[in-house]
Amino acid sequence: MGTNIKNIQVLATLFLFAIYGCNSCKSLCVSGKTEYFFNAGTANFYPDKDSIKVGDTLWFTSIIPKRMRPIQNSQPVGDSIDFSGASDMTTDLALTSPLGIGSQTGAVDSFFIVPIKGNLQPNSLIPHSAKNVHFIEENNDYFLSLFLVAQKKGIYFADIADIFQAKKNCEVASIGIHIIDADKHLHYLQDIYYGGRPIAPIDSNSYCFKVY
Amino acid sequence: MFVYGGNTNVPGGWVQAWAILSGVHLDMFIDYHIDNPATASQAFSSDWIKGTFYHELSHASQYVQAGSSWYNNFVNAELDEQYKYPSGQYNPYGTGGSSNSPIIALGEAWAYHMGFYLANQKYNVENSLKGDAEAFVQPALSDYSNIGNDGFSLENFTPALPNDGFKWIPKGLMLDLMDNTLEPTRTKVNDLVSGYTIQQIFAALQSDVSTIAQFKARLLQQNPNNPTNNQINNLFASYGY
Repeated sequence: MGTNIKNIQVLATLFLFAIYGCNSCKSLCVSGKTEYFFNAGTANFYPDKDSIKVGDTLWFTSIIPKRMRPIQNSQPVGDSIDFSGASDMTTDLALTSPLGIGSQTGAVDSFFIVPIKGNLQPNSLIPHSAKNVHFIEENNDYFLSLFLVAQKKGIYFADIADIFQAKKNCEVASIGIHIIDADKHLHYLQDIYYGGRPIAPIDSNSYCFKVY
Repeated sequence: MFVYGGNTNVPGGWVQAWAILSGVHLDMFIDYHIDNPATASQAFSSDWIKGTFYHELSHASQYVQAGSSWYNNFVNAELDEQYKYPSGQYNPYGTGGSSNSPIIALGEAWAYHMGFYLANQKYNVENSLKGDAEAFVQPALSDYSNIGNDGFSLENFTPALPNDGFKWIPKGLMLDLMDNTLEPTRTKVNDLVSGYTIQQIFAALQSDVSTIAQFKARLLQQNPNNPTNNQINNLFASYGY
């Protein structure tokens, strides 16, 4: 009985070696991936107007520097890191329209969206609410720029999600992107979607406007 | 139960191998070795450690609730995906598109929910997780302020976020069944459901419930009087189910 248990233990050990040992041999990132968090992305809409007309154009630009200092507990730590040549510099640009308190609907189709720098694709899970946007490298930054031509009247919420786990060799980076317009017209969000209540902190990084 | 904390550079598999060889039986071990300076402090943060324990103990609770047959299927599904994806974006849960995925989605949704929910009861704001690495959980870097005891990683979970290889695990679903707060617009989750309790959610995790769709059906069957049930399809659809 004791011998059988020993044999099982040896077999199990060999099995675990087969899984873990061989995988280490195959992987280029033998010691695992290094994960960084950056908070250096910016985005803005122009012109920064509370209301625009049907047919008006809204310009959107987002810039992420290639060299960034990692953050920890919202504070920069260590030296800046060169994250040039990364893949998956992709996130979502979302456009929705409120239906009432706590309810919204996709509004991508209410705009004619044209990329200038970077690429756009529908987000296959929420094609009416968001476009996958892919940044391109240019000089010292990653760029995304596009314009939106308003096609329908309504109230709209726009936001760009943080980049989740862009990759460079054995490093991954998640990058916060902040909308830096002086006035993001969040009263639309607070009044309509939140019914006058305080908006969730994560939604303070939205940009709202009316098309009339 | 024996719990092992490994502050070493030894991969988890070797720790297990050593344990088996030496006759020590591990039900759970936490490998808190540090190989990444950017995330070093997190490994010793109480909320992270407790959240991890709650996560793993929630798997154990589902074993008790759903039985050994269900649990064997769950463990085999996860082992199979780890074998197929020993590293990279889809390690350890897989792509979400295999026959193993439904039971993994359900089991991990429960564990992620309970891990963060219970840790947040104690620590309220997830200081150590804000902007730090928590494997498989989306960070919300744009948010500098305190969020409250829902915790960003559950309430702010975004099922359609690009690059997240595990967005098919509906980590925020169970909180959305419970809470009566307005869903952040940014998640694109349609959450007008509220009032479910952890007990009701746990009660639905029965031995014949192995998919998110079966979980939804059992919830509705067991709780026909929840006044927000007419919104439950919209909520699950937001998570792709």
